Amino acid sequence: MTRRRKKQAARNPAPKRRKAAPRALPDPLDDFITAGARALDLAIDKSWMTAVREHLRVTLAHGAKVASCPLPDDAEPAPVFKA
Amino acid sequence: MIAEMGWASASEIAHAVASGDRSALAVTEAALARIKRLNPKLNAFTTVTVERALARAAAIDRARSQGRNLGPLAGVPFAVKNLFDVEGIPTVAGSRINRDHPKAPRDATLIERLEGAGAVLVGALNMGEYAYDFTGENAHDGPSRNPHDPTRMTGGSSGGSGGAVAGGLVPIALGSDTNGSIRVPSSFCGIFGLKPTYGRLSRARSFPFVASLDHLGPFARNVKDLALAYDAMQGHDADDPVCAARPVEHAAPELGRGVDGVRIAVAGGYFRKGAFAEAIEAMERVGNALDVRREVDIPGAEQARSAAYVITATEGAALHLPRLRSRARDFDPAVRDRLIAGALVPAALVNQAQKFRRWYRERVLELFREVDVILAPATPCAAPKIGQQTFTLDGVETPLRPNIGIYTQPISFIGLPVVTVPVPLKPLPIGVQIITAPWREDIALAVAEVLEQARVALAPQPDL
Repeated sequence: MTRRRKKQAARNPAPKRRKAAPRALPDPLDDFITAGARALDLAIDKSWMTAVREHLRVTLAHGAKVASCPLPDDAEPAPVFKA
Repeated sequence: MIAEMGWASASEIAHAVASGDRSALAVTEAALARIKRLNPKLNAFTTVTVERALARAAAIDRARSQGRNLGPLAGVPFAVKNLFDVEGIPTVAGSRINRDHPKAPRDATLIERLEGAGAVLVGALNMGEYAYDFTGENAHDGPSRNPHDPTRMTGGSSGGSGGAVAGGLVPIALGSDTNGSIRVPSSFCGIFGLKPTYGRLSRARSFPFVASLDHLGPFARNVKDLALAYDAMQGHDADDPVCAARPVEHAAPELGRGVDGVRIAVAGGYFRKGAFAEAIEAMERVGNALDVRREVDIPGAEQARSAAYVITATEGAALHLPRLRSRARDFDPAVRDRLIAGALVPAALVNQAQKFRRWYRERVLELFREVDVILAPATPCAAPKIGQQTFTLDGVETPLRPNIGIYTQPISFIGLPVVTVPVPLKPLPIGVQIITAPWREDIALAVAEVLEQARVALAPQPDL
């Protein structure tokens, strides 16, 4: 910094930066819910979002528990179509 | 002569009507009067079919005067969860949305069969919206109330069915059970309930929830009535593609044979986790009465419950997707938000759940080569307070509504028949599941009868 600039800076100090209020990180599920709802043509009111997110989180956890059970590739699903 | 009609059994009523001791009309009028007096307290009925019931009762009395056969349930009042089609009224299934549906043009098959056996339909019963519920609460009609303590839940989703039978409004009611909705109200209300084998009883002309898990079945205050109602409803029905083409296998004539030689075990492992003191005591009383010394571990029960949870959420959501698009604000919020979440679950998880279902079924059927009956709690606790949101399972505070069925879901997941018996603990009763191999409802009913005769299982009469 030149001497002149240093003098100017001393006369007109830069305004102090305000600390931004801590913002909650967006839940990664929110993007999934928003995109999924759009794809299904479902309108989700903002006030429903917390409950939908929690229900989805619980359901996905149940799904993960089932997915962790190793089953052979040729395992048939329970409903079997008969021609 | 029947001393008190409110607590009379179906078989006593049928005998009194057939013998001319009481007219069907007198029985029906007494039932309608009880409903009028007690329903404001219990909120069990959403519709009372007064004219229809009186006309039907009068027809039964005419038939008797002509010497015609009246059937095993002559003049017995009964009511149905309001997801059964009743000719002339919309099938609301606990919802606001379905009130806009046209009137049902014909009764559900099971109503036709009970009336064919002489019974008299007196109305439709409160339930959790679209059967996605274990509490018996309903945002539109108000909660069903437990006759043993009206500040407590009946359990759901067949809450009105549980309350109506336990409160003495009717001796027999019908409900549905997708994940526990017959067994949970039986437990909380202290009555007997039968969830038959998947495919045993026709579901024709009832509003569905999860087609691959939906069952219909009866509630009663004693085992004989349960068996009589079950027998009257059996038989193939081409109107329900799931209904099995099996011969009718009457259970009532088999009662009284006892349980000699029946191999009974208690479910351990998963079914021991989370049980409150009352559930443990009920299991001990039942196990001691039957001299059970064996414990079995149902392999994969915890994952089975999870798989049932996933299939329920997704199939239920698929059923209601058009309504979620067009009338989301008309749902009970507690149901709507779960259904929306279910619509978003990836298909791969559903497919895995259906594959697991087959694997689990084979393991459990292997277990039934070693035992005939498995006992398990019906609910982790006795009836909670209406409005209660959480309870403590295994030391962890957990949402109540989706978790009341932790012990019922792994069983209905593979369609096993279950009789839930009430153990009359104080201050509140609680149920125990008697689980058998597919198509062996007769064994479950025989075990229930032995427990009833020993007075270990009985429906306590509430002070109303």
